[in-house]
Amino acid sequence: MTVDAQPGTEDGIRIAGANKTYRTADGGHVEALRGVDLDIAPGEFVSFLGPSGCGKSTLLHMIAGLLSTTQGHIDVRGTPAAPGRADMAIMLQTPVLFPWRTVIDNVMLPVEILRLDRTKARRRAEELLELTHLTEFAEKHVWELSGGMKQRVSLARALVTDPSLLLMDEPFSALDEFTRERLNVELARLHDDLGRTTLFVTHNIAEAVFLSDRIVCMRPRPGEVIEVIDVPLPRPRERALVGTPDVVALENRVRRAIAEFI
Amino acid sequence: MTATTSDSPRLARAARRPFSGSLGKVLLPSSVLLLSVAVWEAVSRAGLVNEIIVPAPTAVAQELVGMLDESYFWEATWVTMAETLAGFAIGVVLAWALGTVLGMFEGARTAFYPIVVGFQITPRVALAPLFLTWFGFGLTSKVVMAATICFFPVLLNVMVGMQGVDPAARTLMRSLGASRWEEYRKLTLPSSLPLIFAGIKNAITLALIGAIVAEFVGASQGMGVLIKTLNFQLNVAAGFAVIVALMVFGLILYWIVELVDAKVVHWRNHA
Repeated sequence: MTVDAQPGTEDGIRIAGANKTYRTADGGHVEALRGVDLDIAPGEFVSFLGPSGCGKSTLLHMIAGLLSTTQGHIDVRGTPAAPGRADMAIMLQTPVLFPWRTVIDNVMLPVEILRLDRTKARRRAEELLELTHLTEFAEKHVWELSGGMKQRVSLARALVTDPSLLLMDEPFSALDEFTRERLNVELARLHDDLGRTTLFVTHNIAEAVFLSDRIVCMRPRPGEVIEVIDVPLPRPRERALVGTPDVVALENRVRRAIAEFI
Repeated sequence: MTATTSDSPRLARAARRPFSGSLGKVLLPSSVLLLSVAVWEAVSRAGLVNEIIVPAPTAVAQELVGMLDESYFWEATWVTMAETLAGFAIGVVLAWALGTVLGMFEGARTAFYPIVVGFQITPRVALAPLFLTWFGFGLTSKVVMAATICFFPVLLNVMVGMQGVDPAARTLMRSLGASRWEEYRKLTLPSSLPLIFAGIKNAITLALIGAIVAEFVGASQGMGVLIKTLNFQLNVAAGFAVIVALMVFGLILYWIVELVDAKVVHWRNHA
């Protein structure tokens, strides 16, 4: 499962010498991200972990094509990173559901904007709602859902185009601990079933270890990759895994890697 | 503390606040209204105030009922309502259009914002005599006044609504490669609708005020003219009757806008 991408992998992601510098209001420069080199293989689950200001979200937004690189380049499945592609979906910290739409219509939003086949996607949307235990809420309005349910709708919306690449920017960090844990188990199951490349930004060590094949540990000021740690835990990942010695050892290793930079 | 039924806290609360139920919501305000009218009636009948200056509610009601059979009343109503609705429609459409441009383009916003604020601060009724000079005694000056007075609240709400869009939602739309138009159509417009409609609800009341004020300043027909004429004749009860009619028509207009609002912005109280 944990495979380093072969050079020139067409289906993966290749990040080469990616830099991001912001100009500040007083004319200075802030290095948000410095010299990131990383290859990600198709089907891999990679977490980007680090304290605030380490540039993990910036990197994800660059991969999504929402931010440009100041230097270096990022290729997604053989083409330069750009927004508006049906093979990529992003999930944000908040569910970002539209209250004027029903649950199913929220899930269908990407299909409308990317102009995909609606009939086919509608069937897929219904399947996804079933997969995320939301079938009976399909025609409900968003305000009738709990926080965890909203984020599951957001996940279904991200998956409706069957993207081969899923970008997740701290998707569960606004939820309570119990809901977060439950959604992580569901996400792990979905990843095991569907096997799509997933990039997951988080500042939660346990979450990163539980979900990932590899963890990219980052430091702030300037945002930089410190170490990439392999997570050789068996799949499928299940709740029983939490707290086992292997997991604890990995968590400690990740913690040590980042600790000196905080 | 054991075996409490699920509805007992609600019952306890209801007992503490006897008027919190839906019946109370109708009963309480209507009894206050009836009581005030009764006090007014009593004060007037007891001769505590001059009946010519403050006529009793029953006298006002009598005048009102009598008026409903008169064609001059309905002609005045028709004129004022036409002015109000035309002014409202023009004001809202223009404000919505300009507000959208200002909300969309930062350059336009920077350029026009001081003027917008300046007009917002100016008491717009002060423009009524000017409009009379420009547009004459007829309907036009009243329509322009009504449109002007309801223009700015809508404009501001459109602008503020467009800027209040969740940045994360914009990120999502951009990640999907949405065009500017799609972003407006599917995100900016619907998410600013609650605020826009709040402005529009405000606008309908303001439009009526604008029409009446403009009629006061100079007109030959309309409910404002009727009120002025009746006051000059010291027929205060009839003047009051027209005011009551105005209130009723104002309420009907507001209620219609609120109905449309509830239909369009069905998520208002939940988002």
